[in-house]
Amino acid sequence: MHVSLQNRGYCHLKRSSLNEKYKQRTAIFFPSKSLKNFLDSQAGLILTLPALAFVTIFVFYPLAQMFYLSLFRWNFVSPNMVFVGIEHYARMFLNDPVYLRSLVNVVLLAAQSSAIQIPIGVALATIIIRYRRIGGLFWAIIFLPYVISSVAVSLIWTWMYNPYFGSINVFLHAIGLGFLARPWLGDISTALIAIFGTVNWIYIGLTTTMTIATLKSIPPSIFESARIDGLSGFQEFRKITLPLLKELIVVLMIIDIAGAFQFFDLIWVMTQGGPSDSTHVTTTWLYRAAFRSSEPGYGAAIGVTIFIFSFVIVQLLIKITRSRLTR
Amino acid sequence: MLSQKAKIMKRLKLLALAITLLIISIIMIYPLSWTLITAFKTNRELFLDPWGLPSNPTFENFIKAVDRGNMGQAMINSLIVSLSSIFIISIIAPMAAYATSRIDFKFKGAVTNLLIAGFFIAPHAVLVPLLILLRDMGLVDTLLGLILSHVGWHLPFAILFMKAFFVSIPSSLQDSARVDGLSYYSMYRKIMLPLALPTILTVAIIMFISVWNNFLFAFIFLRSPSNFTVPINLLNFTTGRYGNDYVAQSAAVLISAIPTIVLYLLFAERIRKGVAFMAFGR
Repeated sequence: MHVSLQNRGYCHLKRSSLNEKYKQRTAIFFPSKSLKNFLDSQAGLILTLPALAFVTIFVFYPLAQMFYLSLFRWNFVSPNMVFVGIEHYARMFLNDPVYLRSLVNVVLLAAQSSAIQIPIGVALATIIIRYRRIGGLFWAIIFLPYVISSVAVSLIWTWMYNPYFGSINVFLHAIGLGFLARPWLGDISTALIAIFGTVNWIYIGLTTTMTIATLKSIPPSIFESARIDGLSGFQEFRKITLPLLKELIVVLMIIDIAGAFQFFDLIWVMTQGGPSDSTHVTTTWLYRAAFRSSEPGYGAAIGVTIFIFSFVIVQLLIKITRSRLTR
Repeated sequence: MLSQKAKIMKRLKLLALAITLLIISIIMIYPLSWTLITAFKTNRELFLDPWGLPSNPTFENFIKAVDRGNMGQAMINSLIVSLSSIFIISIIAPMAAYATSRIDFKFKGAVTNLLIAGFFIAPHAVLVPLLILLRDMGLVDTLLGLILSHVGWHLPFAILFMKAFFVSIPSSLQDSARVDGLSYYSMYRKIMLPLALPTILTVAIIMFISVWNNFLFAFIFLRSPSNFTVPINLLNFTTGRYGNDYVAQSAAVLISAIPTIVLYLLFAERIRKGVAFMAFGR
């Protein structure tokens, strides 16, 4: 069928009148026009139905069941579930120091990610854009860790931190700082910091990439006129780039907060929450409670708090910042 | 005099910049290259001289990783899971994205929100009910269960990403096709889908990497090593009988990363562009 790609001047017609025209045309070709027309009138719903089915079954049904399960004591296999009401929630906040510790760790993770990755990412992004040729190669390098699986990365860094052959200790010995060498992941005072180091190593490329995408959406004419006005590189950054980056920085912080609540692989592979439960995040503690201690009800309750912290609060943050930024 | 001084200052600044970039590059590359070298060493060499080059490089570690580390089977399983997931997503997501951005229908706003909300929800929160759901469906410890879960949790991002594309298509194109008597379905098939192919490819590549690297779902749903995907098999290999065989583990880690690194080398631009979208999607 011939289709004109040009605007044929029907723009002034309302969509409903276009649909009328469609019905008149098709009536000539299809005798069973009523079914055809019915299917076409429901096209929107029909085309979204498969996706809707998947999302309903695998996202929303479990999400709803999570709230229900969190009210019961149970062990996965036994047929009788004991209703305990909000007991799990009370235990979480009043009687579970590891859970509270895991919340603190999530906050620390989000805070350090924002404080370290955003400034470095913004700096690297401006450099990459300014020095295009060498910047392209550099960009490719710093983004590389992001495409490698978190399990592989965790193993590699577990070896970096290994007390015997780990490169960090070997390096410290080599430059005469051997007294600083230690089992980084086994030492309660350094385990969390060691994990944070790996986190930043993985995600610095992502932060930089998001910043570059934002900066590239700025029309280059602004920079040109700034250069004509005689602004130095730093002035240019402070006067033009930074204000434009404000919204991005807020978005990156929100991503860091949401990301911290979705953090699991790295910690499970590197420390399993140890030593002495000091590196647990809420997700690893949920896993331990639900699947290792066979308390799915308690795990579901922890899941409810993860959902509330990461989804509800993040949505609120987005709403607040959007309205404030667009004002 | 002054201009010369300024010139020298500029040179020094550039030099400092180059050194900074070099140091960061080394930090980024070093752990990966260390693993590459270690994979060709023996365990004795590793402990005696962690920085030394292998005196007699062999592929023995790689053979061991595939042979006794089950990496071959795991690669096949991961390939099945990743390809099946992106196949289903590539068919379903563009349909839903097109409908929710280009067709007016009842409850469109609510449906769109439902489709996209999953992007903002942590799958970790619902692990318990999700496992129970798969158990009730008889899909625990099956690749099918893993595939379906991946589709469900990856669709929101795919739809969000595709919507940005469909919204950018001028509506005059659709209107003129409509007047020419095309139903929404044939319009989708004949006009929109061909136009969307590059975007679908981007989504498929990003989803492939994401599914290939996914650890969480496989860790919860899979039980028998013959069903293991690469990340969980990797963990199993490093904590099991070969827990101290670091050189064989290094080889396994390298093998596991080959597919995504190859994809990255081929489609770096596409991947970075797609991933950067996550910032705008929020």
